[in-house]
Amino acid sequence: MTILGLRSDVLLGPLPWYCLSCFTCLDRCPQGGDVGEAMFAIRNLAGREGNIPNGIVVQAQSLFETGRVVTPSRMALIHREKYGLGKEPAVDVEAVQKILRKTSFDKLIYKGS
Amino acid sequence: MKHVKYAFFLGCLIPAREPNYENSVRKIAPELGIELVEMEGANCCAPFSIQSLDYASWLALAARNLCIAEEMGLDILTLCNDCYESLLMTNTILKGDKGTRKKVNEILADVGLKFKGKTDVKIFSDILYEDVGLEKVKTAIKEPFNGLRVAVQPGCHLTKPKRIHFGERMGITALEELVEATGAKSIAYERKEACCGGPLRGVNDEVALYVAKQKLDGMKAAGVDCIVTVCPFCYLELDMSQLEIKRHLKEEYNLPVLHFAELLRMAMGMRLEDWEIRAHRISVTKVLNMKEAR
Repeated sequence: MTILGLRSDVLLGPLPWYCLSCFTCLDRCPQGGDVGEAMFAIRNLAGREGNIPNGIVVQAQSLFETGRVVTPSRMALIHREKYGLGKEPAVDVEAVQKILRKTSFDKLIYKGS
Repeated sequence: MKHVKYAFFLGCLIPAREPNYENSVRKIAPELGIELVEMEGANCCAPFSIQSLDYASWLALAARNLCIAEEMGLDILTLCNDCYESLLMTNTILKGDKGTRKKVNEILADVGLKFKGKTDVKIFSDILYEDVGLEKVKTAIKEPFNGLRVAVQPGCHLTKPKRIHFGERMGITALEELVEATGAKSIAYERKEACCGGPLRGVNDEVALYVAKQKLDGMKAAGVDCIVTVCPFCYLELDMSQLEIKRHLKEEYNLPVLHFAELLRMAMGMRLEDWEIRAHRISVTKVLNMKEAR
């Protein structure tokens, strides 16, 4: 659809983000078509048009700020301390940010905010 | 007993939301001859949500974790289907494609790392099956779950896509045989290999719930006692969605969701602690009582 000129119909709507990335299509395609990879390419393009679901923006910003897409809940921290698992393993956030600045990931996810 | 050593990749979700999963693995691994070595400074695996935003960022962040394991001289042990898929996919791409490897190494040079292609990525259940072996696991079982009817939820990325999982990786069969080694029975049900719906959380919660409901319907129709999974996202989705379905659609499943590591730990004769039992949204006491009744 994108190649046929329906670019904005594809990239600005919610459809690219409804793919579960389960890769069932990829394993099933008799022609060996890599539908999963095509979906990633389309979502990369949609993101550059500013079309990113809020839930994914939250994950991405957390990744940039903490090096993790999910940070510990208060309860998890209490349980870790109390039951001998200790603090969460430390992430080298500085290295993560260096990488993500180089790939301009920060510009992508903080755009317009 | 054969002793194996792995770089322990914990990821984000498990230490942050499911420390009960981590705790069970830390308890059973040494008993089965698996040494877990912490990966200093490792970052998020960069799951497919990040691959969806920016391909280069995904590859570089996943590759950074692979480089840490390379420097440790160890293969990686993951506990999460999504960490497994991301790291294994990146490893496969970078090992096979010199051009992409060169580009990723240019990014990694800024943090003093270089991908050399010297590590392998495995998931806990495959390690139990291949390195420890089914017979060793069976001899470690002290209190079997005889007769427990289990719906195994393998999760998509345990085996998909096929092109990154090579011949010897057994995936679903291995997991089912391991579940049966605990004395439980793995029951066939509709949509076993289908997605739990979790990836749609935060994108479209209504559709996510619908996908989860289809899975739960299949499990309920097969008459299982509980769900057992290796994936922390499937665990969260199937546990949480049962509460939401009860609230919004007035339907009840009451299917406890257990991590495979918890099932194995209990079968090995180690009890779950109270805080771990309480970590399950759908009460697991039904499963614990069945065991004690025997």
